[in-house]
Amino acid sequence: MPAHFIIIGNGAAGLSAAEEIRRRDDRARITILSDEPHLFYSRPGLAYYLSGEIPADRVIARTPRDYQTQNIHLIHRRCTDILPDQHQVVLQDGRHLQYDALLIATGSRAVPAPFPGRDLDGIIYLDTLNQAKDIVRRTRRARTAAVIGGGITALELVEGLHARHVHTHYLLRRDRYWASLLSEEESAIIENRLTDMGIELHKRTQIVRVEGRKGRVEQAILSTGERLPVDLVGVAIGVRPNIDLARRAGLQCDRGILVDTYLRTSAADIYAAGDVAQMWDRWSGEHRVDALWPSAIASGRAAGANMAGAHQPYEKDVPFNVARLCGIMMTAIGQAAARHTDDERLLEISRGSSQVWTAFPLAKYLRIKRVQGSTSIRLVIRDRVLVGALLLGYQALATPLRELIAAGVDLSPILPSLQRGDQPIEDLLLDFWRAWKRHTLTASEETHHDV
Amino acid sequence: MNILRRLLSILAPPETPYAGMIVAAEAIRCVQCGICGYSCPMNIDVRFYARQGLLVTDTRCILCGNCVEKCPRGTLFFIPRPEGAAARPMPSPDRAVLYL
Repeated sequence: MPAHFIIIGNGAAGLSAAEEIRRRDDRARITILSDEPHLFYSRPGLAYYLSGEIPADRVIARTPRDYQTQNIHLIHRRCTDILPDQHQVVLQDGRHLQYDALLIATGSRAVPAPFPGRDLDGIIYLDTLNQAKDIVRRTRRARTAAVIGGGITALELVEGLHARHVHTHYLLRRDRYWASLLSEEESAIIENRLTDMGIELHKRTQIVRVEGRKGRVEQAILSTGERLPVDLVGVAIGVRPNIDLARRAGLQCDRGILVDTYLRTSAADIYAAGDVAQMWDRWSGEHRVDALWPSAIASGRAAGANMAGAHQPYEKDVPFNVARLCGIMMTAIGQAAARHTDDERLLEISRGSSQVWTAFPLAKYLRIKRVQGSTSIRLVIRDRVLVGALLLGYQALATPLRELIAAGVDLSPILPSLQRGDQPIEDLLLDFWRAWKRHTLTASEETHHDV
Repeated sequence: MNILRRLLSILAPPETPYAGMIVAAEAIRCVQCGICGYSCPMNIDVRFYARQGLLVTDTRCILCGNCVEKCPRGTLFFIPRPEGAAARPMPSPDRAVLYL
């Protein structure tokens, strides 16, 4: 009897796990449970559907045939309970399914609006394809919107609503955009773009409450006392891992589901991966959560491999993400935060961000930056080692910096030049990276030769 | 719209400055949004290659550069076409290999 693998969640981690199991095991029975009525789709792609760059069906990234040929059985039912002792899951229709190994890849969901009026019709979130479709439908009538939140998703909402001709107010709780990650200059680059686009920026402003008429959003009352007439209020103030199911089943949880280096939870034969898993992070020496697409794919694959019997420890890669902010490409790598914050509210992670970015106090860190127009290169260096970087605009350094950060390379040979700023940072880093690459390749060839 | 674009590109293929090149992808940047395939006048499933970091070896590729330009994450780029990267039809997922 072939083993039965059940995966809860049809997102980046869940599907990657299923495909990895199939790659390793022809005979296994693989079942994915999803409470969404769609095939696998690109969550980050929703932003481009919202902005009108692609139609909704294009974000669907697998065909029915992809599931068929890999013999992955997709059941569009919510899983209501996990029974770890019986090795069973319970579906919303009452069915019990038996598993040999189970993966929880339930992802994360938007933190609900913190103000009174949050239940009114017209409070919108961008978590799922259905929500994105709902927003698009609403923009046909809506004229004005307000958006709160400081990360990628908030900006995606702002840009999407604006592209659909909704006059948009963007409310920032602090004095600048994404203050927990970006430097002042980087925030200014994005804010200038927003203003040029015609977005109304309100700094140091919060929504105190939203008032409605006949159950619909009508106006937002701001902390400044202003009353803003709006049809929609977009909320993107962070995400939280969907751990309810795991918690009810008695699995050990903190912010997310705690997993060991094999991505095993505290219950036998139950694994977790993606946004919902709180994984060991060698960069910070703690268990941490991420809401990053590349991490979800990598951890999903690793969990799938281990479920299929690989028994390989999963080494979390350096946190990495790419985003397009107002048309400017941004890459954040490693401990990329420009400053330390102990403001707990800022430590809430948003989609597309990692706890590791803001993990450390930066007092003894060296920061090197170069800003030119809407391009910026910023390096975060600790004890002469490159530990983080953020690129706005110019992207040619993304791969070199990711590799240097992942390998913990000592920058001593170029550090004086970097600090003096007498040569272009990009040339210095590219030359240094090429030399380091050649050296590591030669060294590994020699090792290979010795063996 | 898509059919019209395809027809136009077949009747009058755009001149490409990318002769001798091939579209390559850095998989870690790809979020599988599908803009690449949507902007392709030849209707190539570019995402299939991009998400796996494969060279776009589809025989229909006319090197117009639309996918490279439209990708919102900088996943796609041109590289000189390496030896052995012969144009070939889209491989099925189980036979996909990196032709380098």
